[in-house]
Formats: sequence, C-alpha cells, structure tokens
Amino acid sequence: MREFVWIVLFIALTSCGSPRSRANGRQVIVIGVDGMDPGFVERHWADLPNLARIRDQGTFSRLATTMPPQSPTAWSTFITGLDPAQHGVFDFVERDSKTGQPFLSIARTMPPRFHIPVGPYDLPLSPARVVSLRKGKAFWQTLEEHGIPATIIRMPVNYPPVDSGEALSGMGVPDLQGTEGAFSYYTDDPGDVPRPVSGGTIYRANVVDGRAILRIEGPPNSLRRDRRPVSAGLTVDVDPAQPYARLKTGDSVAIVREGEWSDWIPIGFPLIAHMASVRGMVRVFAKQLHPRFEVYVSPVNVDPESPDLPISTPGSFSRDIAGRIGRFYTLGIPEDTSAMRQGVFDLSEFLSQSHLVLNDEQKLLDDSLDHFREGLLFFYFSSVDQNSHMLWGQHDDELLKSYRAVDASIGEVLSRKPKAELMVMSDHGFTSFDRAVDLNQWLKSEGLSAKARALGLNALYIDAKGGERQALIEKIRSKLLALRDPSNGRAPIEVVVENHAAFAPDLFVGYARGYRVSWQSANGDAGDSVISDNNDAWIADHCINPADVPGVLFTTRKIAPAKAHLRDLPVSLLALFGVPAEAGMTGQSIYQ
Amino acid sequence: MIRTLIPVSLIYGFAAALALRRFSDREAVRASINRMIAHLYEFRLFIDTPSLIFRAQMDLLRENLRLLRLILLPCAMLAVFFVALFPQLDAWYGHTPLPPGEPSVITAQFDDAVLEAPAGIAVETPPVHSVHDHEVSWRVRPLGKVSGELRLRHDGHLIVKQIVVGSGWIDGYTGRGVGIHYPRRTVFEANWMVWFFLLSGIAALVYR
Repeated sequence: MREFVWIVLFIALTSCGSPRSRANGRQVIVIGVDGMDPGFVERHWADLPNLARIRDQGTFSRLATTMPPQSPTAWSTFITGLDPAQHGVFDFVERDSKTGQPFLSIARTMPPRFHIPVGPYDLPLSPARVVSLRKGKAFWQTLEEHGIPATIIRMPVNYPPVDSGEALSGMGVPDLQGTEGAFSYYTDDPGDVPRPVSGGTIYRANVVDGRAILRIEGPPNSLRRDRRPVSAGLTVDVDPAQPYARLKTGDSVAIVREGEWSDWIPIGFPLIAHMASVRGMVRVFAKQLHPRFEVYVSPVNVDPESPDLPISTPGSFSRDIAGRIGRFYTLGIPEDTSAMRQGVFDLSEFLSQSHLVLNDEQKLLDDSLDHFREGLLFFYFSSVDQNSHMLWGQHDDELLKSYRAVDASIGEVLSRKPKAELMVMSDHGFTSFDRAVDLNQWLKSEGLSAKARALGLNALYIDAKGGERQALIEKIRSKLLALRDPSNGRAPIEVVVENHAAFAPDLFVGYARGYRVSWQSANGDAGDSVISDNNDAWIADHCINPADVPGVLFTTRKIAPAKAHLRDLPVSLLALFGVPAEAGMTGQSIYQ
Repeated sequence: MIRTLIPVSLIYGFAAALALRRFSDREAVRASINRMIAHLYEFRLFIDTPSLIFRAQMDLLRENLRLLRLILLPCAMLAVFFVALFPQLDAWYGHTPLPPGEPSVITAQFDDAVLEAPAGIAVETPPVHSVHDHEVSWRVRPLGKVSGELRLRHDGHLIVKQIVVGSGWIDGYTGRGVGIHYPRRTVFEANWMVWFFLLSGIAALVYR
C-alpha cells in the first residue's frame, strides 16, 4: 500500500510539471507589422531610429509576398511555410464551390451536433465549435514539439488558435455578431436615415428627458430555433447643461465627455432571461451630446476576461493578460475604417480610435516582454496597415506617427531583450488606390458574365471545366492584360495568374500601382463603368501585383538575403532553434 | 479576502443547522424525509405501472410541501439573517476595491450634491445629472493606493462614505444613498453566493 502511495505521488509530481524547455535560454522575437512598406521606411529613416539601427547593425531588405498579396493569404504562408494553394486561404471572402455563396475564409462555426427542441428553444447537448479553415501546421507547433516554448500574440489567421504554446488570436476573430466588425451609430439628426451600412448600422436615437436607451445588437440567439438576434440596452443620460453623459448597462457604469471615448464597458446579452447569456464589451464615443445626440458604439468585442469565443490558448490566457493589463481590443481588425468610410468618423476621430488600438497593442507587448523568458515570442501590430489604407499619400505626417510608434516599440524590445535575436517583418507593402476596376462589369461588357465572376479583392471564378475552362482562362487573361484605362491609356492589370488548387478561385488578378478592384466587384456585384475614380475614404491598398508591394524584413543578425520570401521565414525561425523544416515547406532559411 | 469566505460560509451553515434543530420538529422532519425516500423507491418498484408512478409523484409533491411547512420558521429566520448580512457580504466578496489609475463612477440618489474626494482621488467630471432617475454622478480616478472618506453635501446634510482603493474592506452599510461603482469580483469564475450556499449547505448537513 505504501509503495502504491509513493508511485501515485511520483506520477502526480512528474506529470504536473511543465515540459522541460530545450530552448537553452535562447530568445527569438518576431515583430510582425502588417502593411509596413519598404519604400515608406526608406523615405523616413531619420524618423525611425530603431529600424535604422537594425539596418546598420543587421539586415534590411524587401520581402517578397504571396499572390494574392492579401493579409490572410500572406500570414497563412508565414504561419505554415506553405504556398496559398496548399494552405487554402486566398482572401477574406471566398466562394463556396457548391452553393456559389460567399463565406469568410478564416474560420467557420459548427453548430452543436446534438440538441433538443423545447418550445421556442433548441437546447444544445454538445458544444458548438469554431474550426479554422487554414490547412497546414503552424511552425510554432513544430517548435513546441521540439521543446521550444512559443508565445504568439495576435497572430492573424490563428483563429481559433492552434492548441500549442500560449497564443492570443488576431485577424479573424469576429465580433459577437459574427462579423468582421459592425459598429452602431445613434443619432437624433432627422437628416440621418436609419439604415444598415457597410460595416455597421445607423440608428435613430430617441432622447426623452435627456435619456436615450440604445439597443445594442448582439449575436443570433443560438438557443432559439429562429436564431433571432439578442440585444442589450445601453442607457445614456445626458446632463441637461454640461457636455457629459452617464452610460449604464447591467452592472456597468461610465461617464463620458463630448468628444471622448469611454473605457471598455462589459455588456451582457441574455439568451434565456436570468439563465444564460453571452458577454461582450464595447467602447462608446460621444461624438456630440448637445444640441444633437450623436453616439458611436464600437463593434461588440469578445471580452478577454470572460471570452465566449475561443480567442486564446490555453483558454485562460486572455483572462490572465486582461487581469494584468485590463481589457483590450480582441476584434481581429480593431481599427474602425468602416466608420470613417461611412462618414460617421472624421479623420481626427478615426485617428483617435486607431490610437486606442495602438495603446492596447503597446500594453500587450509590454506585458509579453515582462513574461517572455526563452523560446519564440511573436507579436503583431495592425495599426500601420489600417492607417495606411486611410492616410497613404494624403496624410503621410499622420501615417508617420504610426510608423514612429511601432519604431519606438521596437526600440523597447531592443533595450529590454538585448540578447534576443530580433526579426521585424511585414506581410506586404502599400500603394495608392486611385482608380477602381470593376471586373464584373468588364465581364458583362465582354459577354463573359455567364461563365465567370469576380469575388473578393483579387479572385476570379470560372464556371466551366476541362478544355472550356482552359480556353476561358486564356481568353480572360489576354483580354485583361490588353485592357487600358481610357482616362490615361495605362494598363490597369499587370499579371493574371492561374490557380490550380481545387475548390479555389481560378484566376488571381494583379493590378498595377494606383489600381484595385472596385468595391462592387469585390462584393460579387457589378457597377456602372469598368474603370472609375476611387472616391472612397479608403485611399490606399496592396491587393495588386505582389511584385509591386513587397513587405520588409529586418534582422538583428547580419545575413545576405538574396531574395527573401515570406515562405522562407518559418523555415528560418525553425532553423534558428536547430529544428528541421516540415514536409511541404518550400522556403529556404535566410540564416544559411 | 476570499479565504474568509470559507469560515463565514461554514459558520452560516452551522447556524442554519442549529436553527433547524432548535426551531423545527426534528422527528416530523425526519419522518417527512423518510416518506419522500419511500416515494422515490416507488418510482423504481412500479416503473411498469404508470398510474402508481403518477400517484407517487403526487405524494412526493405533497410531502415536499409538508417538509417546507415544517422548516418554514427556521428558514424565515435564516432568510432575515441573510438579508441583513447581504449588503456587507456582497461588498466584501462580490466586489474588489478600486484599482489605482482606473476610472470609477460615484452616484448619489439626489437631484444635486457637492462631492469632496480625499487627496489622491481625482474627480474628473462635474456632477452629471440624470433628470430621469433624479441622480447625480461623478467620474473619479484614484491616483494611487489611497483610501479615505468621500464627503457629499446635499440639502444642508453631510454624507460620509468610505472609498477603498487597492486593497481593504469595502463598507457595505454606511453612506446610504451614495454608491461607489466597485468592480465586480468572482470566486473561481462564479458568484460568491454559489460558494457561500454550497459550503454552508455542506456545513449544515455535517452538523445536522
């Protein structure tokens, strides 16, 4: 009996301990800066002293990106070392090969397998699951298998996060409504017609005795058979004399001044009254309180303190971080460019929101550095990319502030982890978006719309097989390359690449600098003219010919990169720890 | 502070057991419980006879009501006791002191008032009135781990309320009409009352 107790104790003690690290104290830090453009960096070396220091002491080069040069695609290649045809992520939105309907390409929510109907309810007997649609193995899974600890913060296309190391999901995390981010804007201005707009909804606010009760829309009620969306009330009491308002929902109370952002306000959405609810959080911007009532409410973010979606691994990781630094943006793309595109934000309001995101990112980085001991730390910045979309070429001074903030954070990494091997990289660069190409209108004008359709930012789908498909591909390719912009005679399309992967777009269209697909065409619709001016607040992009928008690669170690490509980086990071590349990875280590 | 929840819950459980012993007919309670167990056995014995099962269910329901009647007096006493304790217990176990640097809201249930905060707690806004609720609120931000007295002057009266920052015991009773919005706290991701009633229930069963 005594021996048995000792054996049980021994097994318990040895199995409870964390696996022994084989990193031997080695630290590798990767800072991923979405959309950091090499040309912009080169024009502003004096303002970016930390990046300049890495260039001088280590290496700076351009980093070739994927076709299509879109963030979900490029980051998936960085994660897996696979080409897009292998990892299967080609865009934010792709077309279902069976139904022809668009779907979000990063993850899919699978409803519970077993449930019982009770009146209007449909009670689940098994949990709903979120599954990643990206194929391939994440390189840090390989590291963990070799005993190298990995901490991965806000990695795009890592939702739900792979069950390896410690990770916080980034791009791909939806809001509670299940969208990429849907804001709500409440106004009592009779000129503002209540309506759904791209990226949000405009509501009419009814202010009585200084009080407006705002209905915040939550997720579809997964416990009801009709999946009717749930909502929660946010009570806003506007002071009759001063430009201040008190905000109340459930147990949460906050006060905001006109022109000010609230802190995160936790908000609960009842699925069954007093029994089951979903929790999220919002930030409120009091755009105007007197004489008009104009209040913006952010998309309902997953609350990291009590996440109802799988945003971290282990599940407690987001809670632990929030316990240390407070709540933070969890939405995949947190900068609300839609609010600016819809005229809800002016430029300064957009920048103030973007600044909140950057603050959160800096707090997250600070916390990550506090806890990083050895192995791999990956950290992602989104602000440069999202700000470039709205500022590039027209507000470069403002954009430079984002670059400088990231540069300062890199300086922080250099000073706090002087022994670490540091890599700074981006998934693509940037260029202006002046003219929009409506591919679907063009297909219509060419009489090809019955057999081909554009959807997404670079993709074209062909509804034909075999020889007919091949003939169509050749025809479309040659005609697109021959297309000219009537306003200036330029060729708006530089390359058209055939994709051989199954259940995927048939062609990728690589636009010339200054051009991009039109918004209508990206949504699968057709507008009025084939090429027109881009009059949107979204003034820059990167979904063009990948050769025109390479990313950046900085390393603290001196290397001689011939032509570094994104697919080389996971192989290189494995090589830094002496771990061989996985089968299917086609890149070469930059450290050879 | 959470550690004190265990003895408090156990003491409440012992008190509950004591009240049940002292103020209920124990023999009648025991007989009632035995009859309920007998009715439950009937379910297993007469599983093939729906009419008997139905009758057993009715008997079980009746017995439940009888048991409730037998323990009504001690339960009412315990409820009064719990209601009296609740504001303080909820202040201690349901909330945490204000974190330094984080904003909070103070609300007074009056149409207007003047607020004086102790040194180290910044009052960031003028009084914000809710015409609808006849309330006035302020946003405050503790600049460090400072606790002290908030002083509210309303209609010639002075109301004093403790404000606790960082760590300490939150006062759930004083300063009626004035609320400090302390952050909510959970114990192992559940409301403190879940653990309170679980532990006191176990204590009561052990001591019965």
